Amino acid sequence: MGLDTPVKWGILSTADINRKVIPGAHASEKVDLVAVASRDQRRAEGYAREWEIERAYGSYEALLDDADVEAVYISLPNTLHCDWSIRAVEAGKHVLCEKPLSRHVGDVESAFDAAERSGRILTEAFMYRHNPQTARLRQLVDDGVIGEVRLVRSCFSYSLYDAENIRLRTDVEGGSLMDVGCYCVSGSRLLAGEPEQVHGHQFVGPSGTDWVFTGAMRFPEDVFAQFDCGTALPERDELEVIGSEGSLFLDDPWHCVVPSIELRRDGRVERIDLEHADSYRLEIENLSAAIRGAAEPLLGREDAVGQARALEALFRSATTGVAVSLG
Amino acid sequence: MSEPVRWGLLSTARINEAILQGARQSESTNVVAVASRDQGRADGYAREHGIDHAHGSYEALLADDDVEVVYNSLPNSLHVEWSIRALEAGKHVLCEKPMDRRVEVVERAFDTAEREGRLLMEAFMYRHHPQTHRAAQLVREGAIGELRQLRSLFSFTLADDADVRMLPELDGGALMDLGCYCISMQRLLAGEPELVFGRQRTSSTGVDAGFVALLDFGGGLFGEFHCGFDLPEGNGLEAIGSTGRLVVPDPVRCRDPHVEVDGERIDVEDIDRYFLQVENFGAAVRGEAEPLLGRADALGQVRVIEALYRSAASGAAVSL
Repeated sequence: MGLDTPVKWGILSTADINRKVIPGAHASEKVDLVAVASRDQRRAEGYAREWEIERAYGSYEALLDDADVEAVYISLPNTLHCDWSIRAVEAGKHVLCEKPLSRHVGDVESAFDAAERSGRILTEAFMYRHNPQTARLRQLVDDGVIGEVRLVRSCFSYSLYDAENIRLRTDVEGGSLMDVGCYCVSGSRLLAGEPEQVHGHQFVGPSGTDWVFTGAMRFPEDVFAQFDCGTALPERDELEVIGSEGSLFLDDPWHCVVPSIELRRDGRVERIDLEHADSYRLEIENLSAAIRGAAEPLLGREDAVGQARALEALFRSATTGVAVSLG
Repeated sequence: MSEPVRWGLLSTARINEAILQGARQSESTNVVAVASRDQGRADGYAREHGIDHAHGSYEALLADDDVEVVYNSLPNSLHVEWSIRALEAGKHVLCEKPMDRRVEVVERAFDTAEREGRLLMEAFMYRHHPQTHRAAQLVREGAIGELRQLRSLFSFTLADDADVRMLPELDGGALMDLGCYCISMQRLLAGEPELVFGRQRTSSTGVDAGFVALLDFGGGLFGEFHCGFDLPEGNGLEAIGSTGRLVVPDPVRCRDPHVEVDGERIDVEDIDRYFLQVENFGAAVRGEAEPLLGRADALGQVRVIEALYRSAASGAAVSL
């Protein structure tokens, strides 16, 4: 199989997020989206027709049994991420799994152990990491335009009050840190490395999940990050990385719909506008290229385990009321 | 009197509040444990509700020897999987409705219960309420003559596309969440249908946001119902016989409990249906009563649900 042969993909579930992934997959020459699975054959068939996908399966197992499918995109609820990632890699598939893989470090480790045992790639779907805006931000920081990095400040929130919403249910591991705060954790880690100590506070709403979460993280070399996220706050999404000589501010760091970076330095604001790019398409293309051996997967075990470590520690800190050190 | 039955709650779902409320009124019920996927949350929940043991995983609760009965209020798609694990851990299980949409899966759950010598019951709490018993008794005793026609509805507006009841991955849908009550009460009054026909309105998320059904119970007895998340709130059951008409205005939630026969109001005792449910199941666990609902009822339910979904998909009536 040549480097240019498109990778045959299948999708596990008919979740809403798929509609962001499918158009890019169809448009890409590296990707051949051939199958979709649902818990119901008829629903799978309707979905396959609507989205012009060749094969429809009435169970997730049936899709994993399709020998033609090389890679699967998993967009199931949070609590099913690791289980189905493991089943998929054991069935010989490469896996792009929605974020967050899990809040339990042990589960993420097990998933990557399974992937390594099976010789398959597993990657966590942080689509913003694939957007050129993120790469450019990182580049500017590395070039020293703001001097030495001292602080990262970020937020991601929205407002939702239906206790039966999947994001507000404890039994499927909803909550603001899991749903949106994980972006702040990821963005802070991208710029500052792995946290040495974290401290979290949460407001647990009537549904039992964290409706508001705020975290402080200390990184090596006295770099600090603070973030807040919420399912009971107005819609906000921002990231600012502050250095010894200036700061870089992103008004749309996660969705990257209108990519633009503000360089704030010497009392002036310089705006760097960037071309729009489809993060989801870049993400699935990166993994497709990695499967063909033509690229490295952008996000692997190290990043996913770092994420889960930080999330687990933040939850522990918010529960116990004390800071948690990470070895 | 025998010792109180020791219950454990699998998950911290909101419906637990109703069960806990019922359990507090019951001397034969003692909620001793709760599990969450997070130890901190389990601890907080246990403290708040005065529950002795808090477990940071469902597995840990199942391994708790102190727990005799597990109440399973996980999302629909996890009902049978965790019921089976609980039964295999030697627990009796009260599982939220609907158990599943697939006959074969429900059969497997009851096979496990029988193999393990444990009880498994589907949590149709309204079936335990005197209002339901009274309606069934009136129909049976001929208060409306020979039963010919059943009508029922159950609906409310659910605008949130990420509500677990709107998600196909968790087996949401109006027939699963609401229609199962209509099916249950029609089966109670009329027996098992011979043929069903259904149509559904599909939501953008891919579940049935609305469902309408026709059931043929044989012998000239028909049932019809509709349910939906895309409709204003609606409740009600009507049984029409050869000589009269019986109405239950609030058959599921049983508020202001009463039955009307030809416009005449018959009051029934206002009593917590969750309390009655835990009492019945607890007594069954102690061998002091029969569980109100068992394998036959749960299988009757899922046969109709599966057939209705098949009918809605194929456009044809389905014989049972």
